[in-house]
Amino acid sequence: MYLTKEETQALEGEFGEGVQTAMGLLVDVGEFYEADRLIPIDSAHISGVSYLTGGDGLIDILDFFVEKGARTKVFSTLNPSGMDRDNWESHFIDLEFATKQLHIIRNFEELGVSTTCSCTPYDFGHILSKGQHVAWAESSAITFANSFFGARTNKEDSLTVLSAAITGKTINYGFHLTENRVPNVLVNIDASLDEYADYSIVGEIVGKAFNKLPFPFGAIPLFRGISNPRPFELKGLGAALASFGTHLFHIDGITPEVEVYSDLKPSHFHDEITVTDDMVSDMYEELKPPSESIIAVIGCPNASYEEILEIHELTEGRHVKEGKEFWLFTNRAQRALAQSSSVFSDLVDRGMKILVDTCPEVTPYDKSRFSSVLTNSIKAQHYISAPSLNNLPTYILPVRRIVEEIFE
Amino acid sequence: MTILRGKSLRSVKNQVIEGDAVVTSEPITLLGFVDPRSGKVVERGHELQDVEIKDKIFVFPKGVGSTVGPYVLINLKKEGNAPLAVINRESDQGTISGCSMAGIPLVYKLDLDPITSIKTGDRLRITINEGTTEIEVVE
Repeated sequence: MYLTKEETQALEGEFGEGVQTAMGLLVDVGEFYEADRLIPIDSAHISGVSYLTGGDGLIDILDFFVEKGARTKVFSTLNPSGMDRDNWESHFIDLEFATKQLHIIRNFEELGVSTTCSCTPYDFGHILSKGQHVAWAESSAITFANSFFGARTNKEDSLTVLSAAITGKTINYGFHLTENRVPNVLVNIDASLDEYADYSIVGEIVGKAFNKLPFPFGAIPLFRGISNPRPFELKGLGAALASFGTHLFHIDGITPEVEVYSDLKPSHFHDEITVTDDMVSDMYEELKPPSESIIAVIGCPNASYEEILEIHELTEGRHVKEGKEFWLFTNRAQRALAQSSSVFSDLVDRGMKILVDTCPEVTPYDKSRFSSVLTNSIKAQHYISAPSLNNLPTYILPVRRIVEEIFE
Repeated sequence: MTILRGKSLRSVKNQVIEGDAVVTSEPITLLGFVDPRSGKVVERGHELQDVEIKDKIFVFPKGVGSTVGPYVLINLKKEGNAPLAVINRESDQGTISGCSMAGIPLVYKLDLDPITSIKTGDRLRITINEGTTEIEVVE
């Protein structure tokens, strides 16, 4: 891999041990992919923030970079942490967890990262243009950046993205190159998609259909038959697809890069699927809760203001039932919007908890209170039930049916 | 005696590693499904469910799943439960960066398929020399 003079100096330690380690990691990964060079990035979105998922190893790595005086070189935002940093007691976080989590967030501040702690940085000003090169981690945000904005990012992991933020560079391979962004599977939507959970379910069906195919950068679906999707619904589709290894999709008539690919012949695609209403309802049937649920979590990925308004409308005149919990995960910017009208206080008066800085899957649940979780997101369903994370059975319903379960 | 030749990360120093192989043909989901505290694979239904990878030479095709996966490799190392080395067939960015940062020797781009050439329980000797690597199946 070609390195500039400055990159070679970084690798040799001339800019300190922190930059040297970051550059060394990029070179290790870049040589594997036989990349020709590193390229400058305009921004980074960093994952690996929750103490639940990063553990003490995360603290050690951040302590190291802080101690060596490393600083991020580009605008960098941060993924959800394991708790609401001002209201952690409200969702039953213990003091030891909270102390370690605050240490992690402080470390990121030291490194110059905006500690926004949300998986939807595009909802508060971290927006991108078509063709722009960035380094984003957080699988749902990567998929949104590539598909909705037509920007270019690989599936950076928590260490490559930290290294990219510190060096201002990423590896020139994969989705940074036009030839790797061409759709390779065709999806015909012959079903009515009316809400967020429907899109999430489609992500599950499509993800499962193609995740065994040996594409180097995952299946890249071209969707036909989706009309007037709302941005947060595409976020839900992308989040579900991403949990099956898809980090870029195109939609006929909708996404920024699709025009170039609209004329591709059916023979171009390695595989094809038609998603019908029956397939969607079968998947709902498979994932519905077997018994009454105590807790519902919304906001994987973090709820946009549009979703908050939808929940506001659906819960008009209602209140969370005695002994039940409804947690709405969003970020500080959307909460501020809600606080600028009566929406926020209405939601709180109806018995909901509005949590920021965290998300349904990277926060620990109090197992003495909850034995299963209800959500509207396939991605949350995958990770909340993971054995070495929360290990809680997790079920799916559309949001209006969740409201029926949890509210009186 | 079977010999496989491949590459290793630039950051790994020259060394010889000897240990017993644990082999799977299924991808490994690091975050959530490999437990740093026990050093075991804990994914339900995985062919390595409840199998220990601590101090083994861990042979799998590639890692999949969350972008936070690399921290699982760092935590395995911190808890003293890391594999001695990792051998991948395809590999993936998260496994590469996690091994690079944790200092776990990673071997990839082998001339023979490691999944079919190596069996669980085989004794392996890995010789890393300036980025090129030789794996001997010694017994």
